Amino acid sequence: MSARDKLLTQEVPVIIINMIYGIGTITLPSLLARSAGPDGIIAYLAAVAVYIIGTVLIILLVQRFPNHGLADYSPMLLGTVPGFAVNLLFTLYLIFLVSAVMRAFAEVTKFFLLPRTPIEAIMLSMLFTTSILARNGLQPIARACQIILYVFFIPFLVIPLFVSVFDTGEFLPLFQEKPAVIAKAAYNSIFSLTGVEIMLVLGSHSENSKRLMRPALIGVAIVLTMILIAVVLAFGSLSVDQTAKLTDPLFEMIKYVPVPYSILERIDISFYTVWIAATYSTLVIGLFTASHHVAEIFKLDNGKGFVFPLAAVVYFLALIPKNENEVLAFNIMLGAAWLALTFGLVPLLLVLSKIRNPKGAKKQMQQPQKKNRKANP
Amino acid sequence: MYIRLAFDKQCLESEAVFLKLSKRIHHNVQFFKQQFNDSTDLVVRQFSISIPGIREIAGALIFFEGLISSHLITNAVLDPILHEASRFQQPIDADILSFLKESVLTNAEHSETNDANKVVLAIMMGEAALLVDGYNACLTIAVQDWEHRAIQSPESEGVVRGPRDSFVEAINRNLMLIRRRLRDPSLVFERIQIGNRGQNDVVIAYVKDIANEELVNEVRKRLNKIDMDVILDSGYVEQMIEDDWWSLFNTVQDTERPDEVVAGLVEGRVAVLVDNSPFALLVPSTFNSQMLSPEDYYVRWPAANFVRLIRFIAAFVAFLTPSLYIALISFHPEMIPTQLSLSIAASREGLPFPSIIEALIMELSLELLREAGIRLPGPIGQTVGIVGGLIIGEAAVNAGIVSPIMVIVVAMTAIAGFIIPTYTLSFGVRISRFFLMFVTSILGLYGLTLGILVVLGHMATLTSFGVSYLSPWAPLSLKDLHDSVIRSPWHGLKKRPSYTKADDPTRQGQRMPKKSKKKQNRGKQKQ
Amino acid sequence: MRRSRFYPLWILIIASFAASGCWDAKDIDRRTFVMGVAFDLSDTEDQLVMTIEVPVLTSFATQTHRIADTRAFVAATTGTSVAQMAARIETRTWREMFFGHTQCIILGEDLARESILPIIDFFDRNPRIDRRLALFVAQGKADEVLHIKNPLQPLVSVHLNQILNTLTNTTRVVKRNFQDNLRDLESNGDTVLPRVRSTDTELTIAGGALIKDYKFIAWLGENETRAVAFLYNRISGGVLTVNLEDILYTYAIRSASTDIKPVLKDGQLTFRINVKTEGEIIEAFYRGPGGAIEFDIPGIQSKLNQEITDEILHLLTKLQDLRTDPIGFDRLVYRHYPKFWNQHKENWKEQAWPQAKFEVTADFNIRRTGILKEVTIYERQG
Repeated sequence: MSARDKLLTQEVPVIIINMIYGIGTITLPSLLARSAGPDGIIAYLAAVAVYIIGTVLIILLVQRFPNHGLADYSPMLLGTVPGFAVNLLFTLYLIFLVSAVMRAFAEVTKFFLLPRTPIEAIMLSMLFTTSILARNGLQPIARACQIILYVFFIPFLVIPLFVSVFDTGEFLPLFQEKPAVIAKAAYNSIFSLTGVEIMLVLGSHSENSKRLMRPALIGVAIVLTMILIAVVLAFGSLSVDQTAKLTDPLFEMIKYVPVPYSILERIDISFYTVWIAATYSTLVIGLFTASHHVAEIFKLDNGKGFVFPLAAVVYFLALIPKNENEVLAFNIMLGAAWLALTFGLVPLLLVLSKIRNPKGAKKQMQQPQKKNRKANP
Repeated sequence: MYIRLAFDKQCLESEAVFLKLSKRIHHNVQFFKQQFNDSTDLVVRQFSISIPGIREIAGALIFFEGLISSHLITNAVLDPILHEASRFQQPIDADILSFLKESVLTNAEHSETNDANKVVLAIMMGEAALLVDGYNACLTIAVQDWEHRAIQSPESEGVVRGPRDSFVEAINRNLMLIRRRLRDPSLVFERIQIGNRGQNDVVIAYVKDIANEELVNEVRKRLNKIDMDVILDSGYVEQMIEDDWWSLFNTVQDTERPDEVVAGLVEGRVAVLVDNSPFALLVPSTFNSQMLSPEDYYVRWPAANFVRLIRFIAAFVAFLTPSLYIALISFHPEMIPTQLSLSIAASREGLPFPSIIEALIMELSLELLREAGIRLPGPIGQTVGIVGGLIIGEAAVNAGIVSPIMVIVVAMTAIAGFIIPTYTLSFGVRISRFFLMFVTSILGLYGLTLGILVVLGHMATLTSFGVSYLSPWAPLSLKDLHDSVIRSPWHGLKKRPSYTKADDPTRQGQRMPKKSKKKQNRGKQKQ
Repeated sequence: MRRSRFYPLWILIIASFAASGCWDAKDIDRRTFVMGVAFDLSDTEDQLVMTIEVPVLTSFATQTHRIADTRAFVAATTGTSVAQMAARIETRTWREMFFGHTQCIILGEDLARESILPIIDFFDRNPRIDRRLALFVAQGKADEVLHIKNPLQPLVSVHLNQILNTLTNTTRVVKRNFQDNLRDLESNGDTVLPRVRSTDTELTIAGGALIKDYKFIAWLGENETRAVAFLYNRISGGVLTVNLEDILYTYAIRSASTDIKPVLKDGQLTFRINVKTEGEIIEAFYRGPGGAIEFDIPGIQSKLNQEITDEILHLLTKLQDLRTDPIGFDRLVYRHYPKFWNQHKENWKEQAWPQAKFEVTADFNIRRTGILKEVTIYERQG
């Protein structure tokens, strides 16, 4: 990665928003309504709290090693073999995450836009276009994401239209479900929020990787608010009952809203395109992060060469689930993996880094460099 | 030292070889004749300078006819040498050459050299070489004058409000047009010759205390890398120095308007002018900068904003309409309002072709008409437009080949395409339009979105001399947004655009752009 | 350049896509626009009749290209499920059935009495359906409605749809579309659908069909429908005429809102319903000899209040008698008294709902009386 190809500080939130906002947002309201009813909002807020703590932990770890990615310091802290295992698992996690997004995306696209087109064609075209951008480096990705981010805000322009159909009563009664049910709903919805862990790899390629906390939290806060607005609108305009029944409440609610002076009769379909862009950016960042992580494991400069092979792996993994239920179960497993990563591995690495070097991170920064030298004499 | 008469091409190319002129004039004359292969337009005027009481000295004037002004040759060179020289009494051992140079020649610009290569180059550039027997040096006299087009109004970048002059083929005129607008001593023209055979003049223009030095160095570097036979137009240079020559979009802006070049220079950009080309190049150039027209700054800001908005919408219309039509007609008719969808379906009833073929037929005929219109002389070109637009369109509908709505789509696309202010940019849009139509016909709205994302991803990858092509939208620069889709009133445009990384970022609110003063002021403010 | 190596791959992939075909491309003129669908019970056991209204495309073209004059084509088929019938009917229209522009669904009375569920499920599931379409119940046979010819609007389905979606001044039907109905039905299976009736040459669109547990149980008259509209908070306009001391006043509603609050006190559930409207007198004339000629604004207002209150109370009693809750009072109870709701949710419609009490208040505000300040007088001869 060239010196120029660094993430600007202002692009850190952009990348995070683009990574998180995507396929999960579409299914989240329905998932929440089904598992917790009106308390879905509470469940979401709980998930948000957990998520923000997770973000803080991840960024603390990133800031401790400002010049190194996970692939560099995990073998150093854990030992070569466990470190390699952790890196491998993290790569697998990223690939599975991308595959899950890919599959869910293909399902929805096939169902709503192209019922007769083979799912292979949808996935191949998407993977191919994303791979092309993922090969071009971090800066182009960040710029494309910046433009896609503007597109994200377009759906929010129609919020005023919801006033006529919005029913605040739908959020009542609150706190009717048992805490266990709410916790379960929050747990199920974590998958929809996964994404900030890419900073473990990309954090060190930021312009100012010692001060990532602020931009990362801004990004997470913006995207979580965007999703909250989407959930609230779905609950309020469609009713909780209907939200629970539908596979894609976000599109259905747009169908229902009367748009005055609209040139197009059904703006819901134009909103699919926004969401295609959202998935595109998620996949691009995911593929780039995975390939770059692999490159860092093998101490290579850039992961360009890994993009297409990884995309091929993603393609075959995404074809594995047989039906929608399996897709859902798979997603919930990914949520669990995220929790394990954020609240298992990351604190462990943080604690280890303190124990091994209580004076601070300065020496630690030098250690892997020495290792690098040994590795590449 | 005598020069080799067998003088090969390589010696001329490499500056390392220094060829001294001979003292004998007939050697020199023979050398030059051989050098130019006795070309018929080479004129060798031999004469003798008679200084009374001393002797007669043989002299020769070598030049290309057509490149020089015969009026100047007669009045400023030959006449003084043949008549005036004899009036002066000179000692025998006087240096005739410097005497001619200092006291006889009345022409404004000449120089003395003893390097044969330089003289060859000078002759090719339209100077006259004055050789005097007994001297291994030569005077090159600037008497260039050749036929050139008068300054006319711009053809591809016309404005209603604003200056109407445009560049011509003669580079000196073009430099004059720039210098006349910018009477700033820091305006620098750096002239270099590019083209192994053409030796064409290329001028780098920049304002020294505004333009970023790294940028100027980068331009210099890239220009020096060019290794071509001849530079016939700035298009050659453009294609050799752009960042990504695979791209559909141009990352070097070309313009035939001197006012736009000057505006670019004071923004901190670097201009490259090429002799024999009425188009100047401006770098760095972003998508945004290519979407702006100089007129935006001449009219008042509400009008400018309105026009810019229209223009950006037009870019999207030209880019998207045909593929959007295919997506709606063939894949998602539920998006069209019911009444409209009924009448569209009715108008398509009985058409033999699917929408993609229909769109391709019409788009292709549009491109045909456009090319035909450009190639044909003025009045006939217009006729082609009318014939094509009205008659063929109407006939195609009546013949049941295309639907009336398709004619509307194509017409809108064409009109919108003409609104894009830069000719080169509109090429990119036109070509990518076909790409979009193609993917849309396979995957519908999904394909269209993917196509747009591919184009977006590509644009995000592009840079122009290190500047993001999508700047100021990505990476977002709030400061520069006031001169993008919107243009704030002049009172708000106090800073130069930041993407040029100008040394002096302020363009209003200081009497004279003196760097040192400003820095002191800044220092004071900080304290 | 780094990307150059992948251009052949690009071409290969796009070419393979193009070669394998455009799977979903189907031009707009290759689809049958099903504008309206009517469903009836067939004479045969367990069979349905589906009747579709299809626009004759050539009649919608511009003048020069118009070939046909008949604007709508109506076809019918029998079958057991909607999808099956749709597949069968394709052979008669030669083009693929397309429900993206379906304007209305009409259910026959007999069919609705059995269950509306099998019909609406198909449309609820289909992502291409415009969820703002109109769902009607026809008094008598539904297919007759589609055969009515109206010179102002050749497509009956568009006519029916526009009544629900664009008319503001009518209170003859409840203006709620498919999405609204689904919301009710999915919550407790009850709703009120608009009624359509066809005589020989005309359509009458007035009143409502009361649906309980996806089954049609009773008709509602026009005044009852207006009360339902008030309770649904779907009054956007409309006129009310009252007779006060022999003067006929016509009140035009300009805006209306209904507020329903459940109150639980000592185990007794009471709903406080407050109807608030603003409007003006658009007609007022004096009939018969004698009487006042000045406006009695408070008097008119209280008379209006009284009428609406009575109407609403009458309707609510009827709903309680029929053990049905289309307005969704149960949702209100659930929101505000979840504990009470949990006790009664199993037998809400049968026990708790009929025992609920109502306090209905109306608040009509007359803001203007038109340009004239007085009541117009005309002497009746004799």
